[in-house]
Amino acid sequence: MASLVDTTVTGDLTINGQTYRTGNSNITPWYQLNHCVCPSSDGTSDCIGNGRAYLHVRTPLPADNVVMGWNPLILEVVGYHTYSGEYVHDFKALLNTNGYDNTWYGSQIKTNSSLTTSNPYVYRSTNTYGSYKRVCFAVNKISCCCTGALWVRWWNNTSYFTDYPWATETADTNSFQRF
Amino acid sequence: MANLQATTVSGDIRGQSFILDGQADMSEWYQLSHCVCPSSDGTSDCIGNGRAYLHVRTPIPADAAAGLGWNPYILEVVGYHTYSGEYFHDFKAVVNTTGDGNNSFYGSYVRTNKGNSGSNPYVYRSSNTYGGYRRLCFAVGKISCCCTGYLWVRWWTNSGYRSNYPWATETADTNSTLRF
Repeated sequence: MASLVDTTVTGDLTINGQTYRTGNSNITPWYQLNHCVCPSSDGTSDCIGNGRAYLHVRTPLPADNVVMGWNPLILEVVGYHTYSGEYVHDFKALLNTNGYDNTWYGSQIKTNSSLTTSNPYVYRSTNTYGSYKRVCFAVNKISCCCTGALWVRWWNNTSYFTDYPWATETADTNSFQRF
Repeated sequence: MANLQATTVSGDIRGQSFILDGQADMSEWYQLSHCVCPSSDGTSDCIGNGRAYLHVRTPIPADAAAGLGWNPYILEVVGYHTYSGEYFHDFKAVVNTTGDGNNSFYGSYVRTNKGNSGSNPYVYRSSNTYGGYRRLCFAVGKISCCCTGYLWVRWWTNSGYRSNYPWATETADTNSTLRF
């Protein structure tokens, strides 16, 4: 691995991996997720047209103050679903605001929900993954497979960006905890 | 300092300081702590008699004479204050929109996404000069004692001024009392 000090690239810099602003900014790279879940673990599947109306995303971010302490961070999500953009997602959520009792995540979600409502819901996983419960969220989708992507990043706690694999699932509601 | 031609990195790239995009002409996000201890006027967040607004002085000049001319640009701020997130900041402001008015410089086009309680952003030009120029400043709401919290700040265009002068923070009872 090359380690450079101050470096200027006169032309373009193409990065096939990701860009980590680990120093003075402390913001993770964007992580892009596909919006389609085929098959689902419960027999429904976007691919055969009987999927569910909400996409649930499990992030690698631990939701446990044993590792995170009580220091809030900001989760940011941008995305869309379907060729005609029936859903547009664009919100920030302030998390880990109840660290005193380790309930962990807050409800202060700001949304710009565009043409149809995004209905974001942020929660802590019921189960543990890699020994810790993880930050999850759900947003609206249509219940079949269609083009769409989500971009996710967070502000603070950047080192957890690769702490555990990402996962997606579908559910009938945004508040049913899928993980 | 290394000078490379067009370069492809097969894996990831990590910037221990800043990664700047010359084409987009945005400054990189700059992270600031939300706590001011001590303040210059005897109040201090650390001893619990701080003030309700955090004022930030950015490095960017607010003066046409510094080479900025009458070219608006966008200031962007994201952040929070306190463990329970009592303040949440997320706004963009178009500034330098009144360059015709004898260098009055900053505008009022502030967009906000307010949290549970008001972020109340206020953008202004410093009263004093720092390094020969007045500087772009802003204020946001906070609680009046020291608590965890951060602000992230960047601007769109004029990115070359990101290190033109040191950043500074102070507190005040209002957002509109010019603190710098």
